[in-house]
Amino acid sequence: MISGLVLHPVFDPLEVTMSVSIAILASYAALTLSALVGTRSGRARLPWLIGGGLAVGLGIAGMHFIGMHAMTLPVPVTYDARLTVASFAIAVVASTAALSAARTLALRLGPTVIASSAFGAAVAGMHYTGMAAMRGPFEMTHAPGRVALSIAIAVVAGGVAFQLAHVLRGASGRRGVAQQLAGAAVMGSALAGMHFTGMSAVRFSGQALGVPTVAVGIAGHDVVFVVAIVGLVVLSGAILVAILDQRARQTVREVALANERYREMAEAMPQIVWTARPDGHVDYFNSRWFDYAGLRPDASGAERQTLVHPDDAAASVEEWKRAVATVSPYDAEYRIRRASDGEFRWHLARAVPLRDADGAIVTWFGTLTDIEEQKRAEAILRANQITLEHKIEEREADAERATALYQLLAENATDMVSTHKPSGAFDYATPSWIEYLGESPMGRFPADFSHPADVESLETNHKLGLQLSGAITTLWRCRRAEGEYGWLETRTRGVRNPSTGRIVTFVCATRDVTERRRLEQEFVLLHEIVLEVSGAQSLDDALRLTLRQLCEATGWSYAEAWLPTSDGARIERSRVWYARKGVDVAELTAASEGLSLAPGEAIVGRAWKKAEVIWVRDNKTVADAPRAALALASGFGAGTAVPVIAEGVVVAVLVFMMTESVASDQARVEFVSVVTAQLGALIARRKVAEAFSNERQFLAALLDSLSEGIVAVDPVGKLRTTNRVAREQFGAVGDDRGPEHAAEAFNLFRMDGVTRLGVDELPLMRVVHGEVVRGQEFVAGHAGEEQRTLSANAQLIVDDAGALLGAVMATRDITQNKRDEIALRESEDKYRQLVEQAADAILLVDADGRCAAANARAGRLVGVPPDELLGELVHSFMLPAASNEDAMPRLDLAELVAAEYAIRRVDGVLVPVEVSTATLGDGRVQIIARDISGRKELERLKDEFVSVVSHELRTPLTSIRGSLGLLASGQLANAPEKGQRMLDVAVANTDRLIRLINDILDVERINSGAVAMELGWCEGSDLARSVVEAMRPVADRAGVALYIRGSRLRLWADADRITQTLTNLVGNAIKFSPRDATVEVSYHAKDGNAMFEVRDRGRGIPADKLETIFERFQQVDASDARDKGGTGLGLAISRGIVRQHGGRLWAENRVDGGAAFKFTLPLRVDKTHTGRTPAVSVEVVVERVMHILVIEDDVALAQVIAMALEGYGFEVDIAHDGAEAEKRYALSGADVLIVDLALPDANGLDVVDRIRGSDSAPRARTIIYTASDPAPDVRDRIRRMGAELATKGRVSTEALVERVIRLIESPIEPSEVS
Amino acid sequence: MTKTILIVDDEDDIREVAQLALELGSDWSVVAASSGAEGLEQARALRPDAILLDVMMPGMDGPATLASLRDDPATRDIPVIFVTAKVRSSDRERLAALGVSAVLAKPFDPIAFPGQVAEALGWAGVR
Repeated sequence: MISGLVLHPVFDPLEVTMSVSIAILASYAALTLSALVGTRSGRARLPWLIGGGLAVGLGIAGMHFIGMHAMTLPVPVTYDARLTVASFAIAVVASTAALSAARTLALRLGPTVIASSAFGAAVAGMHYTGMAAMRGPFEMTHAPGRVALSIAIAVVAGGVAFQLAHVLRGASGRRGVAQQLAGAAVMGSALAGMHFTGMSAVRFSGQALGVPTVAVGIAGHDVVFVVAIVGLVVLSGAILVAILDQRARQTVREVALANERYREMAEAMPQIVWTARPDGHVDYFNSRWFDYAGLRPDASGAERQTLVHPDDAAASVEEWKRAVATVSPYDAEYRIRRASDGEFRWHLARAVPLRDADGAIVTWFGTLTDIEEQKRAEAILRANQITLEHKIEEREADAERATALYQLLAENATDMVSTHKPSGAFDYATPSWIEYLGESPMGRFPADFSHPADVESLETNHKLGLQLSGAITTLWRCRRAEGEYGWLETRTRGVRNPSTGRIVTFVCATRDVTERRRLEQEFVLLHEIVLEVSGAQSLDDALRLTLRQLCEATGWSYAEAWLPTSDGARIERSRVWYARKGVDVAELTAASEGLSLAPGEAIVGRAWKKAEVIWVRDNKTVADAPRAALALASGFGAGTAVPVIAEGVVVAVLVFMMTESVASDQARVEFVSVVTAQLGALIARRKVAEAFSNERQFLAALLDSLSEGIVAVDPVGKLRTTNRVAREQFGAVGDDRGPEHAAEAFNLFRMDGVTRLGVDELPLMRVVHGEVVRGQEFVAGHAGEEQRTLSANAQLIVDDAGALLGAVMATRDITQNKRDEIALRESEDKYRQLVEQAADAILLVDADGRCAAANARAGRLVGVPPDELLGELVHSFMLPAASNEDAMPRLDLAELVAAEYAIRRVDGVLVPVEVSTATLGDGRVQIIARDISGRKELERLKDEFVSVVSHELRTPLTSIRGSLGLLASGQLANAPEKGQRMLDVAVANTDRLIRLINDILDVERINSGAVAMELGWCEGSDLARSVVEAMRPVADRAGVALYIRGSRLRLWADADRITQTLTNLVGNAIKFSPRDATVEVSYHAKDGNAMFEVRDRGRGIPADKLETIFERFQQVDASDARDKGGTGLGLAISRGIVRQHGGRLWAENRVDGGAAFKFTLPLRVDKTHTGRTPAVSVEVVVERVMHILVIEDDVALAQVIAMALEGYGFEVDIAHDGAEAEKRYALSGADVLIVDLALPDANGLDVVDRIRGSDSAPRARTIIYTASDPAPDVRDRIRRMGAELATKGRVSTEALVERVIRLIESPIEPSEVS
Repeated sequence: MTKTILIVDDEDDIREVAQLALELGSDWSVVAASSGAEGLEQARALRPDAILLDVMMPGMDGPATLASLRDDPATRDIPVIFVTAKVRSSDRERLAALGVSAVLAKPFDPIAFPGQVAEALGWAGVR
């Protein structure tokens, strides 16, 4: 090496600046991380420590090498790799050590020295090792003074910086960052100062090379920047992590801190404290329990139970279960093994349930107090007392000895011991008792010293003691010597005389539990306040509750809350304050209203600014402050201001005032701090919840304002949100047992209103399953009760990433729509039905007069299918009534109001109609046309009738008037014959007039039903006979023979009216019969009817008159009636009568000439018949209509036979040949066959055989008749077939009929008629 | 010269009364027929000066008889009077329109009847 030449380093200003910046950053990281490391404990600290050490170490090294690079030597420089790495290692390790030492930093010398030394070591060690790594054509010498100075700078500046960091640690927010940056600047300067001081201590000596620059340095600029950037990134990362972590931990730490203080109180309690969940599960013990029981904190309940004395275990568990079940205070005594010596010691376990604002139990607060000493003392005392009693009776001396012993024991007990007379009066008290009371209580009662509120419980327990044998514990307040009340716990046990069982004395062990009570109460109070405040609706409420609770708990007179203004510049007295009863604060509150203070002003401002409790024990010491003066004036001698801190910010300051400061207030202030810490944590939590809640409320209000029901569920179908309308639609939406129960819980049905919706039919489940749900209709509400019809749309809710969050359904109540829809449909249906089924023609005509619609009746009226009317001009078939086809005036639709028109049928017939119209809203016209042809016809008939009646009446009247007029004129006075004639004419016509009038009235009354038929049972033969008898004279006069024929026929009829009918018919028959003719009246049953027939041999009735003759005045020939003296109304009346009976009257022409008038009357079962046989009219059964088949090729003969048989009520079929006979028989069968032996196509016998052969029914009886005697073989054959033989020409028709009747009524008996 | 008048009516009593009334109240010669056919026959045979014709008659009624009378040149100019019990004015108008001298109503006053007939025919000589 060339020596002797001093090399002068040149520094690059940019790189120097960079190195200084890195130093400051590294410092900032070191400070931040040191603070963070302090918040961690145990293993959790290590990663932070190592990470922090690495970051800071790298920062230092980075600063160093950039600093080195900033220096330029006129010679090439290289670095030794191992030493370089070593320098890094030194920086990291020493930094780690510094951070570790700095975590416990306080304003204490030891840790500060260690931390700053380590930091100094890190920096200096790195620097000088790094320098040592330099290799080049030079030699380095160090000026020792400067080296020492550089190290001192590192150590001192590091120490100062760490201290600064600690002082600033409480600060937070922007100010905190600024202060930390200041600290970092100091430390960074120290680093840089050390480095450059160290550099100034170096002398480089060597040979200068010609070119003094470029190659110098570890590397080029690039490397410098890489190092710088890596350092920056690492440091920034470390700082960022630290800041984020600090932020995140802030709230947690505060809450944890509050809980810690809360637990600390429990830990501070002298006895074992425990808490349990509402279900009885014990979830906390303070450390005293673990000390006593020797259990690990994670010991199970079963393990705990093993510690309880076996004799007490069951009872203690039972008692705890009972307390939990009934939520009543728990009180039990049992022995628990002490871990230290295995001894079972008596403990008193007590627990009370703590409830929230709603009264629901939140937790159990319990204590476990060692009462072994009390128990022992009691036992000894009791034993001695008994002994004493015995001894008294025996020997005084022994008694004295016993008393002495007993007193000795009692006075050595840790508790105050006393004995009492059965009355309760003290008769012995240990000196500790007397000292406590300040006087001797002998002869006095505990109640004399008791707080008035506890007198009652003392007396109650005294009475209990007289009755019970066990120990009784009484908690009461007793007045002490100095006048204050203290809490005592007295265990009393009665001693009984073994022989009498009476209480001899009470032995009491009493313990001062004032402190325990205070802690217990504070703990409970704290819990209650926290619970109550958590339930508060607003910050004001929370503050108000806190103030009241704290005042009542501490006994402080007055409290008020101060809140920072929104800009944070001042703090204001809020409206929230509380004064205990009887405290007059009118002046103070009046003066305080709206008062505001600056930070640091008065105790409020100070508490706010410093975020700590300010406690003024005597207001007089600060009497110059205006608030203090005011407080003093109101009688408050002392006060305290307690900040409420949430998320590191003072959100309120609570001020408490009291008349004067007492010793215990210091403890109360601590208690208040605990409470306000809880309050702060609560407010912090609530702020987040509130922000969320606001959002929710906004959403809820929005949802509630919708007219649709909204229901949202999560992906598994659990209800998440409902709005007001949904709750109305579905009723109680509280049920959340999941979709399987939704249909049941909310009464969801299909549209039938009865079938519950399945899970897969729920709109929300359908949409979750991927279906599109639009307008799904279903029914909500109990079946039977009023149900709502809902229409639902549903869709999925997905987040931005497409993940399923749930589904939402909007439901619209469409009940009314449905009802309207149904009503509309019903009304449309009704209208359509009405229109379709209307008896009137209904047409809808558009403005052009064309048919737009026509009902069936309209079509019928016109004579075409209704469809064919569509599009037709209405006036092409509807004409004004008076017009003819040619005129066809156009219908004025507007004028068509209840007018008469005519519809022209397709066949040209004009049908009169009455028309009414209605113009519809769309301009179309509805035409209702009623067919009035019936009415018109009726009108015509009526008119006609009136006309005819008047004509008929006038005819006899004309004769009467004329004859009487002539008589009255006297002109016939001289012509007596003519006069007589005129009188006859008058009389005859008067009779005729009377008959006419009677008949007219009759026909009207009968046809209109005005005359009731007087129905009764009557015999058909009686009726016929009476008519024939009555008409006999008339018939005789006419030379007509009357016959009756019939079988028994029982009728339910009006005998007189049927008689009238028959008379009428018989009269007519006689009238129209020529002389020597016969009129036959017959009656028989047919098809469940009675049938009467009146047959004549007159001229018959023209075919076109068969029906009209029954109309009034419609004789076949008008002259007939007059000829025969009739009125022309007889048949009309007769038909009316038959019709009134439910029967039918008609006329037929007989084939053989003459007319037959027939009428039927329905046969009725005669219920008056009694007996075992069915009450069916016998006649009906007997009169079964026999069916006769006449097989005869002579048409005329066949007709004659048939007519004759029909006259007897037989049904007769005629066949003219064998083939037809078979066909007929196959068609309707026959009871009797009347067969001509010689048929054109076959032998009659063969025909009979064929017919019978085909018939499985009873063989038809047969009559064979022949024109001539048959051959013997034929006779034989006829006999064999069981048929009768008749010979034509020898047998009259009547005889044939008689034989038929006989044949039917008798068994088959072949015989021959000759 | 005595006038002849023919009464055609199917009602025996009315015919008798009318004939008597006319005979008593005038000096006309009165003949009667009991149906349209008979009346037509008599009209042709007797050539009466006037015919009283009933309307409602079986077989050939009044209007039919009138038509037959008018069809026959021999009877065409014989004045005809309808005597009817029909009361509706429409009926009577219809009858009057058939070209008759009068439509007289039944029942009639037998005393006034000859005068009414004479008046309708423009005759004198009623007692």
